[in-house]
Amino acid sequence: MSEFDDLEKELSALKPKNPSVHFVSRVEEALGDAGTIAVRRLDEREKRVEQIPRKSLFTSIFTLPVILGSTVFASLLFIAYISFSVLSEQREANNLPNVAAQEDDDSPLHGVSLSELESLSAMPVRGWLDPITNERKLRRVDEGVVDQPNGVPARKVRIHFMDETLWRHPASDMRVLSNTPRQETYLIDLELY
Amino acid sequence: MISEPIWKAWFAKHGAKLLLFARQQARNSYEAEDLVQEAFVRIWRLYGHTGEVSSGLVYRAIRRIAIDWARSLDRRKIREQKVLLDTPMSSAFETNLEKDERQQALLKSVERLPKEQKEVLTLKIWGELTFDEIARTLDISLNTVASRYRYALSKLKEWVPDELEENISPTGGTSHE
Repeated sequence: MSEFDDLEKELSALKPKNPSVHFVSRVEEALGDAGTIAVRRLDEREKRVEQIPRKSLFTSIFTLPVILGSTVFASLLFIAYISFSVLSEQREANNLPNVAAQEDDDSPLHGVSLSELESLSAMPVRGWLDPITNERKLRRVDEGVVDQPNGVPARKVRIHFMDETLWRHPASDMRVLSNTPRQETYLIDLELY
Repeated sequence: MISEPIWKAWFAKHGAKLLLFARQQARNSYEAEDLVQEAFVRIWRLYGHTGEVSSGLVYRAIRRIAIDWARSLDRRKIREQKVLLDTPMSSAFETNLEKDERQQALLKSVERLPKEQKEVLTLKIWGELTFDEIARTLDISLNTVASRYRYALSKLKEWVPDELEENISPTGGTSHE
């Protein structure tokens, strides 16, 4: 036993302050996608099982057949439903018109001509106006100070945008709004003084 | 089934220790946070996909970045520099109503230690690193680490009773600052 054992124990008993919530969220934002690459799964069922109080053997003996019966009945219902759905889908597929395997440069779908696409799709294919685009700034994340190759320190700022694209079809008064997230990183030189 | 990013559990376990170490490398508490953020993000982006990162790597990165920043900032007049000097080390630890005078005296004594001994003590006691890991983190030999640690503990053993005596008023009560 070392002469410093007691002292070491006393020191270990002192706990450093935990990082603030604000700081942790700052780190989370700075990590970006790298933070979500490795995840661990938490099984909620396990937690629930732990929370359920254990019932007596007497109760279990009477409830077990009821549960088993319900499970078998539910399984039969499920199988019947699936069989019916599959049959219906097959019938619908048989009713679809045949698509000609031909190339149409204007068509966005390979093997389907524009006219076929128009007849098959519920959406109009021609007559769309040029899209209206809009850039929406969502948030600004300060990722701290970084060193640049020229030796001048810089503050790294990441800005999250949402690009909105609005497609309009005046004939049918249809509108399609598409949102695409985008990020830009800026390096702001810090003044040396 | 729900999922949680692994880094959160990792940071909950090591974040406080990293900040404590960074405070000794930084000029103020804000810079300490910047250091931890920069070092952790750099290391996690490199090795985070494995799901586990050695804390020694992050301590090492903190130290390296602190040195780089200090070099680039040498010419600056650091106005905030005094902030850390005025901030007692006890503020970096959990406040505990039951924290007795001895613990306060202990922290004051740690604060009096030379920087080199303080960082070895911090990495060993609160960072829970081995002497070998500390040697690699600080780029010094294993013997130097061991001797600095031993010197630090001897000084604390000697200083803590003095600090305790200073806190006790002539009437036998404790002094209140």
